[in-house]
Amino acid sequence: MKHQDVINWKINQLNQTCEQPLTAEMNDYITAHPELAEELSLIEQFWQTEPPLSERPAASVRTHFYTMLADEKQNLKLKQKNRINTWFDTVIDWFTLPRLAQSFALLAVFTLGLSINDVEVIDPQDSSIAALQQEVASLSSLVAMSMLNRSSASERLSGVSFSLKAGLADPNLTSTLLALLENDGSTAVRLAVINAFAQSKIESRIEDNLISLTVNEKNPLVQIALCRLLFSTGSQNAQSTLNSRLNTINLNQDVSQYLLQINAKNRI
Amino acid sequence: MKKVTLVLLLSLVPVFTIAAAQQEKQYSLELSEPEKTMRLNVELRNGNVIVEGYQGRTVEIMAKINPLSESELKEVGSHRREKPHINQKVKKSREKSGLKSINNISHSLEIQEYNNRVSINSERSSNQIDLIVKVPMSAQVEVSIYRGNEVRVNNIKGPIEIETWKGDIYANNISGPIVAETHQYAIEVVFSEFSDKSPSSLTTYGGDIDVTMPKKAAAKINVQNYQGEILSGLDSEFVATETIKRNKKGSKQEIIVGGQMTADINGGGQHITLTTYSGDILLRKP
Repeated sequence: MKHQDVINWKINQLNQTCEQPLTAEMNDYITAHPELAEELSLIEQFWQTEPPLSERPAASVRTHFYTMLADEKQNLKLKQKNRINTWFDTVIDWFTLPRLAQSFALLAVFTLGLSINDVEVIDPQDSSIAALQQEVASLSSLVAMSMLNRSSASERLSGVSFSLKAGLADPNLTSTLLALLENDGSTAVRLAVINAFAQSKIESRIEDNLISLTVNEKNPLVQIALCRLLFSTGSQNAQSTLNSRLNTINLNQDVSQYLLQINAKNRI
Repeated sequence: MKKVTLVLLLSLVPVFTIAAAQQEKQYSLELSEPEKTMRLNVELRNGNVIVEGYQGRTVEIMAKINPLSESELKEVGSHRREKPHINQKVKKSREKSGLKSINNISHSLEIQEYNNRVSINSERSSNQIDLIVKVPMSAQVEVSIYRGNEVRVNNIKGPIEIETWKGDIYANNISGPIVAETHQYAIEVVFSEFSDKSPSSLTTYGGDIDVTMPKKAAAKINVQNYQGEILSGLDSEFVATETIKRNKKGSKQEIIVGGQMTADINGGGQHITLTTYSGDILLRKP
């Protein structure tokens, strides 16, 4: 039991916030401390507006009172400092000036880092990789041309497949394929070449060759495949030229029927 | 290398000078290197060819030489030039009454073996030659008949190439790859295995294509025909190939659907392409 406990009890009692009566322990404590009894009497008198105080409290009591008041003020300040903020308070705190300054500083550093990372650095290895890729492409073309010159039709078919994978950009490879299309003894190989051209972009210089081959072709199956190739993927000019030239020759009945079916003559 | 040249000089055998007589001859060739793969090349103008694979290490040839009748001869055309060569002296016309025509069957067939390559050639058009050739099963086989009839190949595990104009093509119990072509007739192939070594292709203009694929074959089947049907007993579905071409600037986009129908069996693998203009395509499983 301390002096303050009894004083707090007294204040609460006077304030009618405490219904606890004076305990025996408290009574004994007050009896044992006469200065406390004087202080309690002063508080009681101070609390009551009337009658006014009849005599001035003792100096020691006043000193203790003011000390107590000062301590209480100090405690209040500490409580305010340690107060737990709610989430709303936290959010509001973000928008205070120091916090904003910190955020902008962080954003500036981040943006600077990003911009530094985006700067293109010329890698000396890129040019050598490009050269290597070009070499591989030309080697692939060489391998394809070698396969296209085999005596076995099945190996030539493999060569056509390989040519497609190697890409038909190499003019030597394209010329070899055109020669195969014109002269190969196997219809299967010639049809495979036509299918290979159908899957890649036909250049204008090849279109002229294909038109001539189509007009002069004796095998109706190959001729139909060539017509299909040019009328579906050829340029407008090529289609027009082919149409004009086909009209000047005697076509196989099946070829004529096919051209009518695909409405080739009305395409232009 | 041992070179064996065997040329049939039938004119040296008197019995064969009798006109219109069918002749049957059998020959056996030993290979230069029997432990290695051999290559058979048959080129005929007229005739039928049967090639059988077997477990032996020699090449067995049975040839039947049948002179063509007058009408058949007219159909296939004489080997004589219709117009004489510019440097050839014009022949004086001579009296032929009382003389009978002797069918010239000399140099009808030439068989050669060199460094494990066996070639059987017949260039004259006045005879029909029916061949039965037995070769080791691992042989590479090439058969070309200009105006002949059918070609049959059985029990061959090596690559096969067949070209004929007026006959059916039958291949049974083969592994491939096979590249076969005929004009108005059918192609029938039964695979016992499917080789992934090289692509296969079967092409006919007016005939049907009938293919039986082995159960475990992994293959990509491409089919293309213009007027016939496509009939399949396989479990895989056929889809139309499409080509999507886009202009670089994005102003024109074109999608072309068609060209071929494709199916992957057992996950796909080596290609086999079947092409016919007006025939049907039939795909079977064993």
